[in-house]
Amino acid sequence: MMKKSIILFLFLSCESLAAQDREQINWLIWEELDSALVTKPKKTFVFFHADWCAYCKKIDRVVFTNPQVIKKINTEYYAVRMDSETTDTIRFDGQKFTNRQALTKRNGVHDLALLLGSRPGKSYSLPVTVFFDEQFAIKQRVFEYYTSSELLKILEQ
Amino acid sequence: MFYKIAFLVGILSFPIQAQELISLQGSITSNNEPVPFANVVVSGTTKGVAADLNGFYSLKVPSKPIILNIQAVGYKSVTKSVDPKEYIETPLNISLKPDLLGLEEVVVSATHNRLSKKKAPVIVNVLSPKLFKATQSISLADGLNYQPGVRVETNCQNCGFTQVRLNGLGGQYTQVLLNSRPVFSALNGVYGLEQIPVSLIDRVEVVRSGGSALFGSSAIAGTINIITKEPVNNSWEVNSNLGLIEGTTPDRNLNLNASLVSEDLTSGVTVYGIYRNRDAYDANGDGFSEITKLTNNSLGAKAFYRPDDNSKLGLDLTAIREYRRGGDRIDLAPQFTDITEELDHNSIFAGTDYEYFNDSRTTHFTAYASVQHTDRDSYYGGLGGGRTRADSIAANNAFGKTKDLAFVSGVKFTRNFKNKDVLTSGFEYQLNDTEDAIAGYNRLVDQKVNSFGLYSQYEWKPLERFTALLGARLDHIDVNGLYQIEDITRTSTIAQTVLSPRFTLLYDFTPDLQFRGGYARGFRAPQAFNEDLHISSVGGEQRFVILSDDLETEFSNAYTASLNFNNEFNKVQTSLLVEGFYTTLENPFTLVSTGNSLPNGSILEESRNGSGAYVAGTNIEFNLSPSKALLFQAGITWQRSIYDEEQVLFEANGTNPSETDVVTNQLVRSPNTYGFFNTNWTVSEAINIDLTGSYTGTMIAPHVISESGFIQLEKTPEFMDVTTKVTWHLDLTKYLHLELSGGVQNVFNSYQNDFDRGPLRDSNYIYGPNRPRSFFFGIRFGDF
Repeated sequence: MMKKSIILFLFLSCESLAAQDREQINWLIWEELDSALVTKPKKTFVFFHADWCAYCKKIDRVVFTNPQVIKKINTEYYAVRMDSETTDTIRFDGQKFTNRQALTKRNGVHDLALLLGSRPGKSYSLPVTVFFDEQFAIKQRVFEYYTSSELLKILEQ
Repeated sequence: MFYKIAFLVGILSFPIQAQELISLQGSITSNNEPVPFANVVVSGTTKGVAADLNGFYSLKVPSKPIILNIQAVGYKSVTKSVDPKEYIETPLNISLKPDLLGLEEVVVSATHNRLSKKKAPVIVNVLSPKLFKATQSISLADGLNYQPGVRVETNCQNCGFTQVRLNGLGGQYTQVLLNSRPVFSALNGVYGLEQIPVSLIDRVEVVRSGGSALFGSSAIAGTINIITKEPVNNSWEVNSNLGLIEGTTPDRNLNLNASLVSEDLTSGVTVYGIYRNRDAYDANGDGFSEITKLTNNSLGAKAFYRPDDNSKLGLDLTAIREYRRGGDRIDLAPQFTDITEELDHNSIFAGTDYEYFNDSRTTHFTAYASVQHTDRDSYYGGLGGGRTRADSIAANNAFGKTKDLAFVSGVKFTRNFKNKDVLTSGFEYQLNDTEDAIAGYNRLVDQKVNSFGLYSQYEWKPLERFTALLGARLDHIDVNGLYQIEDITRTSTIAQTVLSPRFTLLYDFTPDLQFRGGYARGFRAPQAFNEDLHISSVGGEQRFVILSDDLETEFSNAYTASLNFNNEFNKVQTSLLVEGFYTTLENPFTLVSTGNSLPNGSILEESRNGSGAYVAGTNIEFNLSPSKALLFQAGITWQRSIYDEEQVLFEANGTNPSETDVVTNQLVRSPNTYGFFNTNWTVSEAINIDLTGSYTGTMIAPHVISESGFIQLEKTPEFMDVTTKVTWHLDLTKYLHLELSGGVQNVFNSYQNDFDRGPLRDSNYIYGPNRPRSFFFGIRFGDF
C-alpha cells in the first residue's frame, strides 16, 4: 500500500515537473497591457492572487494549465496576473498605482487590486478574476474558485 | 474608489471622429437612489463614460441614433436605443434594476469561512502547526505546553503515560476532541495524545474552563479540539527527523502524507503514514528506563465528497500499531526482567460525517458517527528484584489482554437568525466498553458506559457590543462496571440524569478591549478513568487502582472572567489577555494509597470521594509582533490548588509506628507557577529561527519511599526547558521544496536529577520536562 502510494507521488511530481515545459498562458504585466491595448484592442482577463490563497493556487495549477483554457486566453485575450499584496509601483493608463495599505497594514492590498476587486459592503477577498471587453470596460467579475469548464464558459461570452 | 474605474474607462475610450457632437447627460438611479459609477457606453464603439458618485454622467455623442449600453456592478445591464437629438434640452435619466441573482450575490469562497476569534464569546487559543514545528514536537503531547494554563506531564518512567493538565487539573478533567467529536475513550486517554502525528494537524483549539454546553459534561478544566487538515490543492510531503536524547539515544521518525483533490473540489483524499522508533533512555545509569521505548506505525486516509454545494460527506480510517516498553533489560522477554511494562496497541478508527447547509447558509446540520476498537496485549510485572520460584511464577503470570470499544454518534443543528442570534442544539450518544484482564493478578476491569447527551445553546446578541451564550446540557449516564484485583471486588452500577447549565458573556468596551465571563457546571459519574487503568510499579511490585465502595458522583463549578486587549498600530500587533479562573470540586475522585494491602504485597490505591477542593488563579498571555518577520509570545499562570479539608493520600495500617497517615491541603503535581515563551524570527525567505521555552515552578510530588507504600511529599525544583531551532527552506522548483532543520531541545539540560534507582523504584516519581538535552535534525521535501 505504502509503496504504491510512493510510486504514485513520484509519478505525480514528475508530471508536475513536466508541466512547466508545456504551453503556458502568455501573462503580460500591466505596462505591457497598456501599450498592447493601444496597438490592438482585445478582451482582457485579469487574475488577482496572493501567496496564502489556496484556491488561487488551485486555479493556477489546475485551470491555467488546461490546454483549452490556455488556447482560448492566448488567442482572444490579453491576460494579466497580479499579486494583490505586491508593493511594486504599477504604471498603467497614465496613472501611478502603489500599495498604500502596505505602509500601515500587514497583507496590505495594492490600490490597483482594490480598485478592480472591491465590492460594496464586503471585504476584499481572493481569488478575484475580472473580465474586460475590447473597450476595457468591466464585463464581469468573479470572486470565487472556478473549474476549467466554468472559466471557458465565461471566456466564451 | 470607484471614480478610478470611471477614470480608467474614460481614458481608454478612444475618441471617434467627431462629426456634430451632442452632449448627452442625465442621472442613473435605481429605486430613486443614485447608482454611482455605472458605465455608459455607446454600443459598437469604444466611446463611453462612467457616472460619478451621484449617478450623474455626461457624454458627447454624434447626432445620429445610437444604442447605449449601461452597466453597473450589482445591477442588470440595460440596452437602450436613443436618438440624441431628443435629449439636447432634456436629461436622459436611466433606471437600473438590482441584479439579485448576479455576481454580487455569489458566495464568497471557503477562504472566508473563518470565525473571527474576536467575536467568540469564549477564549479560544489556537495552536498552529508552526508552533509544533518550532518546538520540534513529534506528537501532540509535546506541543501543548505553549499555551497559558496548559501543562503536559509524563507520569510513568515505565510506560511513558502522559497527561495534559489544564488550569492545574488532571487529564480526566479535560475533554479531547478530534474534529469536534469526542472519539477518545478512557483507554485512548492514557496514551492517545502521543498517537496523533503533528503532520495531520491543521490546528489545535484550546478552550480553558467548560464554557459551552456543546462540550461534554466532564470538560471542566477545558477542551482540546484537534482539527485535521482540509486539503484544496494536490500536495505531497515526506519528512524525517532524527532526535538524539542526551546526544546518544535515538528517536527516529518518518512521515509521509499526500492529498489529491479533484478540480471541481467535489472530492478529495489525504493519505498518511507514520513510522516512529525511539529507544529507551536511562537517565541515571541504573539499567532502568526513564523514557520508554516506543515504536509507532500508523496508516490512514481521510476522504470527502460534496454531492452539491450545500453538503459534504466525510470518511476517515486510521490504523495504529503502537508498542511501548519500559523497565530494565529491554532486549529480554519481559518475564526475565526485574520490571517491565509492555504495551502493544492495535487500534482502528473509522468515522463518517455528513454536513448540510441550506441555500442561504442560515441552517447547518451535522451528523456523525465514529467507532474505535483497540486490542492490547500488556505486560505489567517482572521479578521485582527477587529470584525465587514465587517471583518467577508471578512474573510469568503478568501478561494481560485488553479490549476497548468506543462508539460515538450524534447530530447537531445550528440556525442563524436574521438578528444574528444563533441557536445550536444537538444529541449525542456514546458507548465505551472496556475489558482489561490480567489473570495472574486476578485483575479485571469490565466496564460499560452508555451516555446520552442532549444540549441546546442560544447565542443572544441584543446589542452590538454584547453577546451572551446561554445553554444547558442534559446527560443521562449508565455505568455498569466490575472491578477486581486479587481478593477485592467492587462494582459500579449507576444510572443518573444530570442537568448542567452553562453560560458565557462577551462585552466589547471598545473594539480593542473585551470582557468575557462565564460559568459552567459539570459532573463525572463513578467509573474507571484513564489514570485508573494505568498500572505502575513500586517496591518491585505492581501498584493497582480500584474504585472504592459507594463512590458518589463528582460535581464541579467553573467560573472565569477575562479582559482581552488587542491593538494594531501600523504593522505592530499586540495583545494582552488577563484571565482569572476559579473552579470548585465537590466529592472529587481522589487516589488514596492503602499501602501494600493486597495479599501478594502489591500496593492498592483506591479512587475515593476526596475532600472538596478548589483551583483558583490567573493566566496572563502577551503577544507582540513588531513586523511580519518577528513574533513574540509569552504566558504565565499563577494559581492555588487547595483541598477544603486535609486530604489523606496515604492511609497507614499501624504496623510501622514511624509511618502515619500522609495528609495535605494542596493538590499534588500542580505547580503554583508555570509558563512559556515563544519567539519566531523569519531572518530571510530561506531562514527561520525559533526560540521557545517552558517554565515549570515548584510543586508537590508524592514519592513512595518504603516497601509498605509509605509516601513522602517532595517539593520539586523549578525547570526551564528551552528549545532552539533553525530551519532552512529552499524552493527547488515551483513544485518541489526542500527544508532542512536542526536544533537543540532542553538547551540547559533542565531535567529531574533525583530519579529512584533499581528494581524497587517508584516509577511514578517523575516530574518536570519530558526529556534531557537532545539534538535533532530534520529533512522535509515535497510539494507543500
